Amino acid sequence: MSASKILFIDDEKMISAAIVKSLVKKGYSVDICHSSVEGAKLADGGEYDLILLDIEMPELSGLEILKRLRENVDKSLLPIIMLTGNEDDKDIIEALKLGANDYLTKPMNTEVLTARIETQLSLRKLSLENAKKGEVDALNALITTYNHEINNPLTIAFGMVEIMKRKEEFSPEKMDKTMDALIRIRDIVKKIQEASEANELNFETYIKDSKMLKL
Amino acid sequence: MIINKEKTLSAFAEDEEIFFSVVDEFISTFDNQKQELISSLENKNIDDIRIRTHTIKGLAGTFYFESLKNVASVAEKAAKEGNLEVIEEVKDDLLLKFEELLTDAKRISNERK
Repeated sequence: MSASKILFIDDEKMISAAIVKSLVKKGYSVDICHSSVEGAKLADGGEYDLILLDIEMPELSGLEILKRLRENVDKSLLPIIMLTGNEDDKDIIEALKLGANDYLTKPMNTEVLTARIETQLSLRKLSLENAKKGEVDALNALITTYNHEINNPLTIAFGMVEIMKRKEEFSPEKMDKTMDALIRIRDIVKKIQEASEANELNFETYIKDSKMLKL
Repeated sequence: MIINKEKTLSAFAEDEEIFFSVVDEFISTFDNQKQELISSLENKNIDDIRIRTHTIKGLAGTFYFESLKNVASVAEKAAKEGNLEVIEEVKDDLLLKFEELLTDAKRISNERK
């Protein structure tokens, strides 16, 4: 399993180098960036599993970087731990409101830092697993829906056409049944499309543990 | 005692290699840091003073040298507020304590050898 990748953005060089050493010793892959502007660009690249972000930096503050990142990435997918040397709670409160996952005050204990990083990475892993499970469940429900709601009228439509072909006779009644079946298919496909576009997929139990879309 | 070695070491999970790397790095960069601080004070460059005092505050905090941390904090706050008067009042104390930090860092570094 590859090491978790951390981006550490802090303009201070001495202590942050020591923290990076400590984290690398614990098996993390860490990139350090002392420029807040460059750090913001790197963070946006989507390569990292977690970001350590100092609040007080020249040019671009940690809070500004946090705000920009949260416009595009949810906290469950990219945990951000803020670091602050100030005792004023104002920055911490603002950071949590903007979507920081956690914070630590400096000077920090590296064991505490590691524990917090591990917690956030575990939560992130859980989120990713849940999202994947959700996708698989949705796909299974879609297949069940197609089989039940579309296969049945499709079978009817085919059946009617086959009968008319075999008997070589046109039957208005059978044509109506064929048309009804095709209309039913069209309506179901449209409902699925609308629900999907609106991101409103609801499920109902088909049989036992099998779910289908509720349309 | 200026540097609280026990507490600082504990913060680095008892890792002496990392602890001494910080001490040695501080010693080797001290002259540069001191000169930058003096220049920013002489030029009354508020932004620079804010950055330098913020760094010193962080260093002092890491080594648990509370009195330097406090005076750096006062200077940083004054710089944020553009208050050169307060900076003028505390600058000598700031420089003195910064030197004390260096002296103790050298002592600790020498004790290891």
